[in-house]
Amino acid sequence: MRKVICLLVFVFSIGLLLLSMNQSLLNRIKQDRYFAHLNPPAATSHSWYYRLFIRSDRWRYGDLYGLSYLHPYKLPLEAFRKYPPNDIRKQTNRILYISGDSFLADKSLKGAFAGFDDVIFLDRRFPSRPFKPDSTKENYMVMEFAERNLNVFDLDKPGETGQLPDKLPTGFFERVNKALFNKDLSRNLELLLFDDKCFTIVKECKAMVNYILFGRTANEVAVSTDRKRLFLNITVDTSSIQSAFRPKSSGDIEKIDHNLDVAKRYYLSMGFKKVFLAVIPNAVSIYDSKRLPYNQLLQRVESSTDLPVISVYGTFKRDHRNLFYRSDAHWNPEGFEIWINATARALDQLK
Amino acid sequence: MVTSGYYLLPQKFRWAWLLAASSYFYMYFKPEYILIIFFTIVVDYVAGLLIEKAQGKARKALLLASIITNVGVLVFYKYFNFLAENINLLARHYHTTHIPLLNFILPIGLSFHTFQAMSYTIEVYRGNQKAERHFGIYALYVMFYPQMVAGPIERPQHILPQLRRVIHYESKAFVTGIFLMSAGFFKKVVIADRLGLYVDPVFSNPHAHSALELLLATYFFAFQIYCDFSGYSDIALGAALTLGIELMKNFNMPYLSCNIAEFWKRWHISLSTWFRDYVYIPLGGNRGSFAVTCLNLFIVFMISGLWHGANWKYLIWGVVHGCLLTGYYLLKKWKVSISGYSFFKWLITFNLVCLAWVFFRANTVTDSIYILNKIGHFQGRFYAADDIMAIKEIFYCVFIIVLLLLGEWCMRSHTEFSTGKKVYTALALIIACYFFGVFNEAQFIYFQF
Repeated sequence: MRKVICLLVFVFSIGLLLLSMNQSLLNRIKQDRYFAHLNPPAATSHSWYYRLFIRSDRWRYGDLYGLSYLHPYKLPLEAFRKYPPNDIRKQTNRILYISGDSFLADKSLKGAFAGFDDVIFLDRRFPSRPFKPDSTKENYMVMEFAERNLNVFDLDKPGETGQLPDKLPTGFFERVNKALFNKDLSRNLELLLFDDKCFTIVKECKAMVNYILFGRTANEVAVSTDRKRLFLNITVDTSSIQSAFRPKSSGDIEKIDHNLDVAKRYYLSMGFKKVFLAVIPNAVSIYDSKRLPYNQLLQRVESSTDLPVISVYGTFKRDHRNLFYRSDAHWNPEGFEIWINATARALDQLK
Repeated sequence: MVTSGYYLLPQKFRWAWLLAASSYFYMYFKPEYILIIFFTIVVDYVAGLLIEKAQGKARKALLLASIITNVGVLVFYKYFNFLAENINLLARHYHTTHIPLLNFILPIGLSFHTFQAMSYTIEVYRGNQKAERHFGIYALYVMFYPQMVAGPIERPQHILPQLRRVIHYESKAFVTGIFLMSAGFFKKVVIADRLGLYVDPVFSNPHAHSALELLLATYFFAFQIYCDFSGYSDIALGAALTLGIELMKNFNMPYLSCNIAEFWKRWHISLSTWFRDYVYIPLGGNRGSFAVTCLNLFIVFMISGLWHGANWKYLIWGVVHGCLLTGYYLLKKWKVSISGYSFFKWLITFNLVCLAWVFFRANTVTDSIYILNKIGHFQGRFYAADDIMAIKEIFYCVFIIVLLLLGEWCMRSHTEFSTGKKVYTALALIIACYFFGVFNEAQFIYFQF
């Protein structure tokens, strides 16, 4: 009997180890878990793969809930409006490119702006091959940034213009080495073993115990002073360069302006007719700006850059509706719509 | 996986299984560093065989060659940059040549397995241990994964016979192993890492903190390092015990010591006894005059300090302990002994040890002097570090420290817990680890040594 138990434990452990060494499978699981709540259930629920692996609450209620598991912020996320492609008969010969981040990723924007045949989104978060705009069309570019990401943007960094940052393993030994000594092994094991719906309640209990007893949350998350919402901690913690409360000197602003200018010149040299700047404020800059002295980064950059600006900060600040998810680092459909309208107005001036 | 595979395999293959597992764990950090440890293993294995066969001066020469190789590897990887930096400082003063610094990370657990390997050749030389013929078993003695990266630094007489012995699964040993591992994890994630949340930011910016906050950080660090290191040792002991192998005890409630000599008998026992047996006694120990004994003590503590890291602060920490121990023996020599007052003896010892930790933990020697000066003058009697740790969490930390001391005391008075009690306690500790643990991927402090 003892030998049988030993054998079962051994086989289970070997299986688990092999699974967690398979980074491509793990990446697929991570991706599918991330998007599971966006996909219609009928399309996914029958597959054994979905039944076995895609059973996580991590992203269902917002990324900040998924990081902190604080039960009071377990709030459903409202769906975004989709903008399907425009009527093909009304050709304008104009294409809008948006180089952006997570605020616009996964949104359906093809027909969001009437004056454009197509809207192409370039996800700045992931390195991609260098692209070439269609030279037979009039191409426009909107550089969209979350306020926190303005600080770290530098076009010369690998990945920004399509250079891949890391050499991928190609040889057999290199691949075996990478799989065997996978540095993400413990994270992968955690993902396989404990990132499942049935552990959500336990994770929530742990989070609440630590929050109530010690006022501590996950390192990545901060609670607003009115306790109504969660923020990404890097936008709050002054030790982070991305904090809204970290003082910015005029030299820092000049550096950001310079980096934006380099990007503008790069896109113009590629054949774009005009380049716009759109900065989405941090949630903390809108809802908790008195927490500490706010560095006013967004307004300072918007007023000092010579790029045409699509500004939503003032509108967001004046609007008394809730424009950000309370349990996520991003805007909600109302915030998104305000940005779409502001961008449409700015682009309308091109006519 | 390793444990279940170990019990599934017949005895004659177990060493290979454990060696493969140990090599994998070692290579996980940096695969190519296996070559360094392999090199020292080959050297010491061959040296052991040759020392056993050799006679007279050849024996000594072979031992010396083995020690020089081990110490050479240690010095190169651990102290080269430290030496080069200090020589460069002098060179800058005298406008002479500059030694380039080497860019590599320290092989994990280098100081531990080097010392363990050296103890083997020394014991073979002394005739206390037969040279190991089986290369795999010898390699396993050096690389045995539970204790490879942070000890306990074992002796060949204790471990080699156990690696050869036929081990049958024993539920009592297995449960004790799990119990020790859960106690170790509890110490690490519930106590040490929680205390680290306060200690690390305070010590990284001592100028921003009051004397009270610094004093608190000093006491907290004393328990942080104890729980971190003894927690690791407990995990190592437990992991080995689940395989039926017993490692030596590394800690014995050091903070309950009533004098410094007693502290060093209870703290990092495997290293203290290593230095006693292989450095202090060969230097003459306490057989010479009192002055020579004190000198020997100083030498041992300076080496011990430097063993912890290539930094002046560790050397000074060793010197401070050398001074404290000399002071203690001086009092003993002058027959200044006070019977009773154990509480005051303990209080003085505990505070001296804690203050010495400042040199160990502060970022630089200058910082440690600043901290001690501030604490000495008690500049700032207020607590304003709420952003680092709220008062209620400070009280919680004090509470778990008291709980730890009580728990250890209880363990000592009831040496034999029933298996059932161990299972329930282990379960409670694991649950506590999950709910009250801090999981910020903080490494064990002694991994860096």
